[in-house]
Amino acid sequence: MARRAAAILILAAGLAWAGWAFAAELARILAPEPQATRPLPQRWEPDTPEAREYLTWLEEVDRTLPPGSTVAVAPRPLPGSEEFFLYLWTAYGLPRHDVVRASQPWTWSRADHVVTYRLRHGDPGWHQLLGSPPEQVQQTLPLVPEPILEHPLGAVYRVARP
Amino acid sequence: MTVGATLFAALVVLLLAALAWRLGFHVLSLAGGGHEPSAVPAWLAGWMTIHLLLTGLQALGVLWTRWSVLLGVGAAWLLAAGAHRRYFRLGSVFRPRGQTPRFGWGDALAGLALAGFAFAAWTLRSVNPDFIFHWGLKAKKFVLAGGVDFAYLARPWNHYTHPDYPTLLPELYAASSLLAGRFAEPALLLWSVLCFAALLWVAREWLAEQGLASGVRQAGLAFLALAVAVFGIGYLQAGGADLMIALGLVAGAAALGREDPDPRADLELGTAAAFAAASKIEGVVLAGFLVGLGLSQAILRGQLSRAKLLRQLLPPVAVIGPWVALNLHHGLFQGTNTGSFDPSRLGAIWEALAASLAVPAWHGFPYLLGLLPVLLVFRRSRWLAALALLQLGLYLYVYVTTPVDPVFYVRSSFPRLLLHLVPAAILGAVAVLGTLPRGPTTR
Repeated sequence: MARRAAAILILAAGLAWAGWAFAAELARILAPEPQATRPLPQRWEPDTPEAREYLTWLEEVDRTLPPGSTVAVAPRPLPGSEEFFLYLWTAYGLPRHDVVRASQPWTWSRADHVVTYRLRHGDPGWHQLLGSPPEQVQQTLPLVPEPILEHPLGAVYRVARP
Repeated sequence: MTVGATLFAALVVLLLAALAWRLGFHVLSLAGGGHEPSAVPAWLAGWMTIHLLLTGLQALGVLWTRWSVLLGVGAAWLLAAGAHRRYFRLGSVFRPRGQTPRFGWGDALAGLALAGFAFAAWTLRSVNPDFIFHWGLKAKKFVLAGGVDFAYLARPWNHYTHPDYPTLLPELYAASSLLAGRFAEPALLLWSVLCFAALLWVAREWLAEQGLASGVRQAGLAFLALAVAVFGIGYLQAGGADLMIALGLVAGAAALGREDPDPRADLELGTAAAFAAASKIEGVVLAGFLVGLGLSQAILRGQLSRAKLLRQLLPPVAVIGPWVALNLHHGLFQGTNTGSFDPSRLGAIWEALAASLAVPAWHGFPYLLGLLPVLLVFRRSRWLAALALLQLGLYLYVYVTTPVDPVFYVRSSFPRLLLHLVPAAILGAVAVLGTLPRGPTTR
């Protein structure tokens, strides 16, 4: 009898534990989140304003690029691995195209277009991204300076291949 | 996308899932000589049949389109249903073993937990990052390519999408999107909700089969549902494949523990193994554990026959065979999957494992894994515990041999992988608690 009571007590405690945790998680997702609290791509989710804005911009980029383009992603300098996560979001937003990273020489050399994120042609962030001295940036990734599409979030440039 | 369009896409997902259930029911009934399967194995068999059908269409050079998918799945269903009617008498859709458990307060709480997870998924508040970076991206590529896009997967800079992973989940997303005519994220995330529902259903049946008191069954199901929902919401599990492995493990353990005189248990074991293998790369190893334990049990009991071997082995082989062949053909296997054993990492790995057990989104539930060695002793829980311990051993082996930074690897994956194991620990513990007054048996 005592063991049966102990079993019931353990199960009741387990239920209380799980019920409390469930209520906590529900309360967390139901609480309104302050706007613009996730500026970095690693913490974006599809319903965060930053991600929605970026994916909407990429829809416009998708319509502008020729089908099957190879597109290099070039963000302004971002901390840690954030540049990689921005690249992943870009790949998700541009499924009709092959998306590569401007920060990886072995991949950007194949790109025919570059989509930037909060970076414009001539900005000092380019040499940091490409790992090239500022005076060699244009030789490293030769862009046509006039963008083919502009947006507050970035721009699309064509790569001038010889 | 309008609300109406998203609702239509959700309806398509639910209809495809319902069609998969009927399809799998007929397929398993045919394979089992007319013995009708339980609900969840039938469902999983339907998912497997769709996976094999899509693989077959691609092998024949047929592009996946709305019509090829609809006609393919529809024709498979009609053929299977027709053959079932022709050769065997149709009984009830689902024949539970023993008495059907009555609906109770635990079922209501489990429904509430499921609804909470469904809400988080539908409103995109618990979207797994891998839905964006991996499964969903692959699905978009498959939709555009009209099949598995091997050219995309084989490009070396796309290695981050795990090109060698099995493709069931992105295939389900792609098939749903083709049928709906749009890629509607909230609707696609319903596949995770359906997986969770199937996990609860198979757990409910398993608890009923254990002969536990009603209150224990109800409490056990509610506990399991709430714990999984907690992590599912908190650690963003909608759109990922980890619930599928948890489902495959519990469904497989349930089949291992059955001693039916009919072939259903073998087929259900084979189906669970095939489902796990089609879901994730670690599911391929789980499939090996399931079939290995199933056949070992048959040998020890002197029950091994050619028919038993085929029923357990054929479903996973039908999935794993083409997967290995296609991965080899396209050069998709990744060199980062394993490396050499390096014991000097054990300390750092141990710390990372401990930190993973304590992630806030888990609310402490993974500590229940500490019960697994004890649960091995009890007849009711031994298969759940054995499978969970084998999987845990596999993960530890991968961590100590990985060629990448093991601490980052553990911290970024182990909290998710715990989802494969925690349901087994909870179910096993509940079954043992419910029978404690009689003490352990050694049968």
